[in-house]
Amino acid sequence: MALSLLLYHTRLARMSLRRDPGLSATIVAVMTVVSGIFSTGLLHYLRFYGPTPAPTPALHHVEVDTAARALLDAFQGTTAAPNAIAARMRVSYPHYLLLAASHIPARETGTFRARLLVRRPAAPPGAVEPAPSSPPPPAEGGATAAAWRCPRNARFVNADFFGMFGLELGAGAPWTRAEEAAHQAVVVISKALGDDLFPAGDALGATLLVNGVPYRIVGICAAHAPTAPPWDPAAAGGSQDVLYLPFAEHERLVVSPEMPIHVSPRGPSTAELLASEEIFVSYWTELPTEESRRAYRVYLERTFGPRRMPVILRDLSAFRAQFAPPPTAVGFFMILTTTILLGGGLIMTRLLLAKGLVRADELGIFRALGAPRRSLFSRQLIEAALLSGAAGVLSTLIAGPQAFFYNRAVADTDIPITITPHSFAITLGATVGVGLLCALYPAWRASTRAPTVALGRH
Amino acid sequence: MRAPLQLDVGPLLRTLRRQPMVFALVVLEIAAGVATISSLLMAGRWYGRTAERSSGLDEENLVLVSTYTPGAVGPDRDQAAVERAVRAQQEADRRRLRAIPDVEAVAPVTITVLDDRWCYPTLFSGFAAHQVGPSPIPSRRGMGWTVYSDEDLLATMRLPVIAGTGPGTAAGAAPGPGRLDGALVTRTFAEQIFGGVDRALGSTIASEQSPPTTIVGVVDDVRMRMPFMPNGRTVVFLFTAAPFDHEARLLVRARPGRRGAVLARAQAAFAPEAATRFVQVRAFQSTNSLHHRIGSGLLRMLGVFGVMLGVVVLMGALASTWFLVAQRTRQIGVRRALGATRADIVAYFLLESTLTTALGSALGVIGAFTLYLMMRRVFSEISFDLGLIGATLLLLSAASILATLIPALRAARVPPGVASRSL
Repeated sequence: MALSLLLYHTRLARMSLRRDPGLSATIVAVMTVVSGIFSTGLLHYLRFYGPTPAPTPALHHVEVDTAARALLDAFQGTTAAPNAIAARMRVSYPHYLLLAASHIPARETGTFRARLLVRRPAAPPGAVEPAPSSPPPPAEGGATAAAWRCPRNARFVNADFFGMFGLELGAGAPWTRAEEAAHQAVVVISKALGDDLFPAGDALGATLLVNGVPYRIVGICAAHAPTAPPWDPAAAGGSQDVLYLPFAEHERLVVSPEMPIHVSPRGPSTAELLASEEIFVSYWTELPTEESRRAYRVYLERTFGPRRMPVILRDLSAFRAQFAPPPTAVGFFMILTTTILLGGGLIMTRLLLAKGLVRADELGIFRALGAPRRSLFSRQLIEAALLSGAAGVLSTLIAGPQAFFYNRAVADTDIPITITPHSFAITLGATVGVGLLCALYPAWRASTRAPTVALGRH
Repeated sequence: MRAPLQLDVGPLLRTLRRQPMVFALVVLEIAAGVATISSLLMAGRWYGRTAERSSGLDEENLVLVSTYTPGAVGPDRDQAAVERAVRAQQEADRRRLRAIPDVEAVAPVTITVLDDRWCYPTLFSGFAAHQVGPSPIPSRRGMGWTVYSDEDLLATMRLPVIAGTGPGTAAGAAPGPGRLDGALVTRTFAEQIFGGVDRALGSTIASEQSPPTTIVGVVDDVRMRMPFMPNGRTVVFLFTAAPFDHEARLLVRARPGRRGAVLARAQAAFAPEAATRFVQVRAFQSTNSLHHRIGSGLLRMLGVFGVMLGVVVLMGALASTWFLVAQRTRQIGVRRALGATRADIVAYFLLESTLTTALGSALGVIGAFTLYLMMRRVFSEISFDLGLIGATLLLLSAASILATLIPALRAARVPPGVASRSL
């Protein structure tokens, strides 16, 4: 019954639309433009703040209070706002080693980022290039096709990382703890790197040269890495991580961690870095039961208490509340484009009022023939929903080319802006929502028109 | 004799009282237009200016060589050996570049404005010269970008030293990193930390990254990081050994007019190594940077959005005003029958439009300022651009007048007889 009534009103609303094609077209055009601009803001917002892999809820993050805390005040409100997050949430390498030595049966991972060179081996299939034990000598002759390209972001993690953070692999599986302990040269690569270096889709099991060292690809991520990774919010923005390597491999590759937070002057070598208080590792552990949490707290107290270092064990929700990403231009543009959408709604309200005026006689006659106010009100709302719905669909005509332009001409990172079913549904819902909200007053005015007005004029 | 134009606001106020919601809608619409369009333009201008910001160096004859020398430990797990080998390779690169004809100077730098690599600024504490002692009191703390370089820095960058003499040679030091004493800072750094160039000279700076170092010279401002970052001009040049890194950057100063030749020779020199390590040789130009691409791209995008919004506001105003004027045909006819001239009718509508535009603009400026306060949190050094606000107001006022004038002129042609047709 309700459905047939809805269909009846929808049919009448569609007929009404055709009666004022100029005004209807203007409403659609206006809403298409503002919805397109909103959609553009949304695409950027979703890329930065959008859905990320779902970590297991039992995750806990460990923070060690160090001298770096003294830096926080200075970092606040400056370009170094991410420093404040990094300085609080990361730990030094010696502290990482202590945290990882708990022997409590729990999944755990340390993680940090560095830049590495990556390419496919130039050697024929089957032959593996030897790992250089020192910088490779310059090759004789001209450049080969297998030239190194610019350094890429690589993340060092422990075997449990993928399961703990729900990082989905499209092919293969993460390395195991046993493989990691045996120092197996294995690697998981990002979807982007897989598409880039192995366009034929034969990446799984293939060899990848990382800083000249051959690694076997055991897994390929299913999707692009999140712009704001939940495992390291201080690394939000910028290019994605294209490689995931076993944590201990940083020693073999002699890597320089990205953005260490300096605490006190130290020598220039990597060994001095690893022995120093410099902060660069995030540490996570999974503690699903109260018992495991208690045991871990005892371990932390026993380990760091004598060193007079307060340690904070935060669960995932507390961590998220504490380490929200800092304000960004993306967030501002989301507010701005939402304001634009609402402003477009105001224009739509005026145009719907004009529509009501034009059709005053028609509405009066409907009322005189016995149409209840509720019926006219519903019909106006359905009409508004149809108009704004059309605009929501057409908004992709603006957001699509914009995304194309952005990815080609601006390309601030290697994570592209794309229209997804999710973003399309939000745009459509927001546009129809604003359309309905803005149609309330015109619909009310139209429905309260007295029948005698129309009859009196004729 | 023709009667003077009558601007009686009585009918106008009565109309506004009769339809307060419509009036409020128009005001809000204009306010939203002013606030959003001016914010888009301000953000666009910020991106545009950011794109145009250069390093501040004499870039015309500069070449940037970026290298990444991989290396991995062997069975002996000797990391120090790898580091030594990488550093030796980086030093060899420098010698090779110096040997190229038409090269005047080569200096290593750890960051440049062309890098898209992440790094954090450093927190510096400044100790004024007279306070140096066993327990110095920091003059002021501030953020700065640390750049490690060596004795060829000034010649390569052509940095004008505005105070002091530049770094001196440490007694008995061998050539290479650590041979020089002291630090160079930029003018902005000196002013922010010490309150002036002269006060900075001879003072000491320390950070969590480097031990106390005496400032031996102040140079003109240069920008060593992407200009999206604030504190871009607060730079400290240190001459101690940089932390180990596989990546290295060498700035090469070519003789005037010879950059193309140096570029070609350097590319040829490093081409055979493409398979063993990463080497990128390019002209050092701020306009080839990522920040330039992002800034100019976003400027274009936001400009297009601003124009689209302007058109939308005009289109919406035109369409609705047209119908609102049409709806008042009888009212206009009555006024015409009572003696109002065509000019009176047009003036009436223009007055109505002016009133709503003025109110909407006032609200819009408040809205724009509110958005500006939000922008200040994420756009460093953005200013509330009154010129752009004025331009937006002018644009929307013109759109509003245009949207009123066309239907008003049509309304003015309504004959007085219309008023009696349905009586």
